[in-house]
Amino acid sequence: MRDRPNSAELLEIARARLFEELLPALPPEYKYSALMVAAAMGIAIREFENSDEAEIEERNSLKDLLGTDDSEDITLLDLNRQFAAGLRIGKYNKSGPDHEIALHLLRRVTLSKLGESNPKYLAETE
Amino acid sequence: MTGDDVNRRLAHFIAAQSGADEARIERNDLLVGGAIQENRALDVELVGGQLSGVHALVLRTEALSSVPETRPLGQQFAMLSAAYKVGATVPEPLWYCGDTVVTGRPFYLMRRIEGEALGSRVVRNAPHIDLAQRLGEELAKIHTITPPREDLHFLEHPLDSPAQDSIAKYRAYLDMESEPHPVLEWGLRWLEVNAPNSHETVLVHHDFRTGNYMVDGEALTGILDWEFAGWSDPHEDLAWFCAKCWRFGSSFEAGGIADRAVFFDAYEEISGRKIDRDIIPYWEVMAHVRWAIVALHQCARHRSGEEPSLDMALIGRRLAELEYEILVLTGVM
Repeated sequence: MRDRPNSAELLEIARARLFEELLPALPPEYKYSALMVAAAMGIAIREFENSDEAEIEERNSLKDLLGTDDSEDITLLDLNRQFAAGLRIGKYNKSGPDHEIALHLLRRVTLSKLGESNPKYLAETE
Repeated sequence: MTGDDVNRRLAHFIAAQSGADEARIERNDLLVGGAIQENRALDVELVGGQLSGVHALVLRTEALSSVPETRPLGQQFAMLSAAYKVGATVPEPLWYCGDTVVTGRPFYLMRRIEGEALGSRVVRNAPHIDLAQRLGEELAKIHTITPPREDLHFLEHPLDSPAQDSIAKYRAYLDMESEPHPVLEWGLRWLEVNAPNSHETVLVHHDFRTGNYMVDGEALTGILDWEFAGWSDPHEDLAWFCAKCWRFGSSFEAGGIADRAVFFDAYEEISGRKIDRDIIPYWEVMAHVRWAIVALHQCARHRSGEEPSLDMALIGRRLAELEYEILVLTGVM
């Protein structure tokens, strides 16, 4: 078992140090870089905090949608490949039975990714 | 080759092209902001000839690595020249050199324009009505350039339609990616099914947006970044300018600087072309898909180790915003 603090906790305190101590002391031409560093750390923190839950859910939904055998050991990457290939040929267009399920999946995964990559974007959009 | 050698050869080239007895390079500094191409600020004193005097120039050099669809520098120069000739506000193109003996890479020189290009600063204190009208007029002028053109012979004509060609191109790009992108596939399928039946073909800038023009206060000083231009549907440029990803957080839909009507009306007034407002949302979906493809490509440059960069790494994580907008625009979200 690893010792605490865990990676998110470490990144969080490191990010706080960056904002409180380093950023104010940096010459203006480096501030943008520092903000980029902070942004990258922020994404990593949120990703860690979400753990693998979102991806496990995504995997289950994809297996349902694609009718993958439960016992099959198929990766999330492969499931998404199949899903993407189906989308390309119009398998989930309006007339298809799986239309709503597919769209629901697209919505949920996108919102989950956005919540990790740029939660402010959603807040500003709403 | 040392900087002194380059400057000496460059001065020789400039003197020969400008008809001066001598050219002296007083300044040669790297300019920031060219993500793809290298731009340098040159101050050159010409002695003798018709252009005798001091000139503020920009030296633009061929990129080391390229983003898809980036045109070679000589072609960019030809398109910039065509735009300059129809009276568009662009930096005056001066001389192109395809010979790598001078600086090691192809380059061209243009007059240096002054001002601010940074999108987040340009949209500050919007609306900027005059600027939006002016940009509508400028785009109308650019769109007066239509095929066939001897000087732009290198531009490919759409095989099918500009929309279908783009869809095929972006799918081919996605096929080279190591990960699948379901939302982009959804967007491309939607674009395929909803593609317009007919189109006009004009020279589109293909990156006409806030961030790619320079302003001095409220006044436009120049339209930049011609590396993606080509024949396409004029609505593609109009929608790109209005797409949400280029508003820099502003609530004004035309480039973050004004309402769409201001920009569209000014465009129609000069071009005499009626904008099909119903087809603009279609091209906005295309805009977000296209930006997503470029983002993936830039991120790939980082991931492959070709050009490790925090900026490009973070661009990869902007994909979710673009996908969100694609879902909104196609009625899914």
